[in-house]
Amino acid sequence: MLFAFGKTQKLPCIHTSAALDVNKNWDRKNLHMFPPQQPDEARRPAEVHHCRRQIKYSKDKMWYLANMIRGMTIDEAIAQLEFNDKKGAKIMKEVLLEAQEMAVRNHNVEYKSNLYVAESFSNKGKYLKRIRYHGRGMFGIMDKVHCHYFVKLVEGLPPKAEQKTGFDQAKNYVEQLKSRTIIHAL
Amino acid sequence: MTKHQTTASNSLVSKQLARSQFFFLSMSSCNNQTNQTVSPTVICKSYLNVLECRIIEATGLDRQFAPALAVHGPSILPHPHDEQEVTSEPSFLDNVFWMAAPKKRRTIEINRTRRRDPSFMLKVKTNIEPCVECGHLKQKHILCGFCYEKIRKETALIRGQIKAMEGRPLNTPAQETLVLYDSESPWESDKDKRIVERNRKRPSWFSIY
Repeated sequence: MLFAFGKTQKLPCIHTSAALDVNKNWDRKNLHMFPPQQPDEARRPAEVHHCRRQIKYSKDKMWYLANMIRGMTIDEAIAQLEFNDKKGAKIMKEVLLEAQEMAVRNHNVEYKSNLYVAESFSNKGKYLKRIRYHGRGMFGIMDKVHCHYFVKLVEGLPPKAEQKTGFDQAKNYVEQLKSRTIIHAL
Repeated sequence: MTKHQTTASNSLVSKQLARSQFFFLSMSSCNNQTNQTVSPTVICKSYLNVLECRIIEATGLDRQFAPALAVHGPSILPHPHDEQEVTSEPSFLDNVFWMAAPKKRRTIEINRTRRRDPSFMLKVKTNIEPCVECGHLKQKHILCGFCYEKIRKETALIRGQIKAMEGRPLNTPAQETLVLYDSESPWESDKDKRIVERNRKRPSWFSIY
C-alpha cells in the first residue's frame, strides 16, 4: 500500500531518466493471477500479453499491420506477416513468435496453434529530435519516430464476427422508431 | 501611391508631353507651309498647352519617377539592374502570390477517413501455401525461400571449389562442368567434361540426370 502511495506523488529525485517514466502496464498484465475457478464455471481461456518497445518505425504505418492481423489465428497472422513487404511486418512476426513461445512455456497453453490475436495495436514511442536544414537559412525539427507494439493472444478459436444482414438492420431501425416515446409526459 | 495611380499619372504626363511635342512640330511647320497635317483646332489649343506644359515643368510632374510600389509580398525587391532581369523568366518570388496553398487545416477526422480508406488498407493474401518439400510457407508463384536458401549454400560451395581450380579470374575452360559427390564416377559420355568433386553425399534435390 505504501508502495502505491509513493507512486502517486512526484518525489524529488536526482536520477530522472527517460526509462523511469515509461508505462509498463502491459507487461504487468501477465503477472495478474486469477482466483481458482469453481467446478461449474466455464473454463477461462489462457491469455498472453506481449509487447515490444521503441521500434524504429512509424506508429501510423504499424497501425495498418496491426489492423490486418486483429482477429486472425496466430498461424494466419504469421503467414500474412511473412509475405508482407513492410519493415514492421518482420518485427511484428518476431513479437508474435515470442508471444507464442511464452504462452506454451509459461501460460499453460497446450497447443501453440490454438491461439488467436485478441488485441493488437501500436502507439507512439519516445521520439528523438533532429534538425532538418531548409533553404534560406530556415530549419525544421525532424522527429526520429519510434513506436511500441502490443499484442494479446488468447487460447481457442477466434470469435466469429456477426454478419448482420440488410433485413436485420432495417428491422432494428424500424423497431427503434417504434419504441420512441414522449419523455416527461403526464 | 498604388500601381494604378502611377500608371494613370504617367499616361497623363506622357499625353501632355506628346501634346507639347506636337506643339513644337506645329510651330516649326508654321514656317514651312507645305505641312498640311496640322489642323486649325490644334493650333488654337497650343497656347493653352504651353501654359499647361510650363505648370507641369514647374511642379516637376513631367519628370518620371520610379514607381513606388506598395505591394504585399516579400521584403526583398528586385535589384536596380532590372533591364537584364525583365527578359529572363519571372523568379520564384514573383510567382509566390498565386501559388496554391491550403486554406484550412485538415482535421483529424478528414485525415483518418482518407488514411483508412480501403485502398490504403493492407490486403490479406490468399496465395500462401506450405512447401511440399520442406513444409515452410511459400507463395504459389514463388519458389520456397528455405529450399532456395539451402540450394544457394551448396552452389556457393561448388563455386568456391571451381574458383580454386581455376586459380585466377577469366580462366574458365571451354568445357562443360560436372559435379560429382562421394563414391561417384564419371560415365563414358562425360569424358570431355571437367569434374568438380564434393566430399559429401549427393543431396536429394540434386539429381544426376
